[in-house]
Amino acid sequence: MELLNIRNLSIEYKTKSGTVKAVEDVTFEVGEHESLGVVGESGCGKSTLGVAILRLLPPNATTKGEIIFNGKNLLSLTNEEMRRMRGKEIAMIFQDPMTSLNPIMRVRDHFFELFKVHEPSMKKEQMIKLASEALESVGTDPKRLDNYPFEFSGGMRQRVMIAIAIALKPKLLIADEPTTALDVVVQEQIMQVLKNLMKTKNMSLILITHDMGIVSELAEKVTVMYAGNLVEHGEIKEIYNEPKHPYTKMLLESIPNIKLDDMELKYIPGSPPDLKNPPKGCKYYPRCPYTKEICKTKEPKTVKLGDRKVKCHLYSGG
Amino acid sequence: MSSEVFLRVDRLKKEFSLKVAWLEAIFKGKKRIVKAVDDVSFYIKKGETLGIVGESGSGKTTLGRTVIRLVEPTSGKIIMDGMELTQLKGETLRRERRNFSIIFQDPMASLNPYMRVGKIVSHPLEIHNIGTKQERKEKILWLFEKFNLTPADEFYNRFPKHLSGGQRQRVVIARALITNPKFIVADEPTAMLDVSVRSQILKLMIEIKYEFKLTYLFITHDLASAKYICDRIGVMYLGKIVEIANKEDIFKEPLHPYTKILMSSIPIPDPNIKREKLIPKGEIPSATNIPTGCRFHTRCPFAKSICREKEPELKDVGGRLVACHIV
Repeated sequence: MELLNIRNLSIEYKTKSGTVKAVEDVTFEVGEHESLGVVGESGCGKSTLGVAILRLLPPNATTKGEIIFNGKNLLSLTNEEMRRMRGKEIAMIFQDPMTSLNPIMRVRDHFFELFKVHEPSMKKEQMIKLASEALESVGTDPKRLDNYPFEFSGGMRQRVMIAIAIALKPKLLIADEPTTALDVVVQEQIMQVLKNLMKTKNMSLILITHDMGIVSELAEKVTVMYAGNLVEHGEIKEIYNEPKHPYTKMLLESIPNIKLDDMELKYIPGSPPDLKNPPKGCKYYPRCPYTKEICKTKEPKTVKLGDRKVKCHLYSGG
Repeated sequence: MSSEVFLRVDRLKKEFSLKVAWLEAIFKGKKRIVKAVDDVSFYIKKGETLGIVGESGSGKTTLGRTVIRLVEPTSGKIIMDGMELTQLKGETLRRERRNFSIIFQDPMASLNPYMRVGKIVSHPLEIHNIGTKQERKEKILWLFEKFNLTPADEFYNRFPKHLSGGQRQRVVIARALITNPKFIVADEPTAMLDVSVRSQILKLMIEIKYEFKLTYLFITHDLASAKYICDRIGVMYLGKIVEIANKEDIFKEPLHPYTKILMSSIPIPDPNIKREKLIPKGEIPSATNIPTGCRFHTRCPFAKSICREKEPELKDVGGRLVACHIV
């Protein structure tokens, strides 16, 4: 059964200078115990998508479509019902562990805050036990519950963030660029933590990142986003071995690698469109080497090719 | 690349003293010192690119800034193009600055938001009194054309906030290049940029290196970017170079355990490849409290007792330099 079904999700931000179409008609699902990577350049809507699932978007955002989690449409829940979901059923970790922990609260109080919201009757001993277990599962000494965030290094803080997120055993963890602010070596350590958690806890993961390397190591499926659109979705191996959408192809080619026999630097010319005033037709056509006349006038439909979804005129027979 | 050495750095040290509470200072006589660059020596040949890689806190940025005297060295020598930079002072040093420049990491923070882009790039020319107003503008427009900041005369009058990240970084590079320097320190020039833009900037840097006959010191935490641009790579850990070798050697067979760890930490986008990973314990210690013996021993998966006691010197291992007891 699918744990999360996102159906025709569109999100717009109203700003003084116009309406930004941050996410447009996105549909995908995440199965139980499945890990999905969401990749794309800055401004492609991937973070908005993550925050929208938790219904934490700013007030100037309007959301259309359905986010069905465990059979319930999150968008039709009351605020109170949604509040009970956050942290308990769905949890999120953010890019910057420095700013997402409260500097004047001990680590234990971060845990306690969460427990008090969801289980007001929980005893203190039980709270300490749960918090200790959570810290241990991310490789941190439970003694450090009494420390303040400033006493931790960047990598340790991210571990603490993950521990808090998984303390109540949520069914879905959304990780928004969890390692971007960290060094490579520490990034590797955090990826190992996430890998272990995926194995040992019954959890699904949505991993939002710009780094295909991280997606390949952690995710089974991948959604590629461009300018608010889902342009390709499928199994990571299939997409890597045979990308269909020109954007996916070029994005994969533009990643620096460490093979000494491949010294050619490829990149995608141009830059992503202004989402207040996106191009008509396919949003990628101004940068696409395969552009035809139809791409400039008509928006491509998303077509299914086996397990794969692609949004491109090359495959829609147009 | 010629065999002539362009830059020689000899036993360079940079220490910063930290403020301590006055009570602590009086009663304990304590002074806390950060050894950001701790006895580093290397050379760069003319036309060569030396990469310096390492984690945050390894001292690579301080090294880059000290080499061009944006930061005063505590001791050591810097000899650039036959001239001892460490001896220069005041006006002589300032005049010499046209020959070397720096590209910073964050193109948002390194451009003055109140200055138009054209003015930002012509500023170094004004300071060094190079050319007339008209000549300066022509040169800048020519450079903008070359850097794909077109239409150039329109970009000339824009403010940094109107530019994308990649365009801003191209402006930063244009400013670094405008006085025709011989040497450029590039401090993580692509770290803040999106993947697709990263390659554009690297490519531009490689092109201008040949066209303007530049020598680079390329500082990065990203070994994959270093592969494309560097000829040799030095790996830095807590203020010291632990391994320095040709790019090919480093990538084919890293010798120092820290280099091995750095290499195996790079995420590989190919899901068909499954690798054995080498993961170190903990994180980089504070530079105020450098471990005794080999400074990497607290995290090294191969550490032996000698590593805790004696600091390894850089030694020659088949034409490359490695500082490790077990290599």
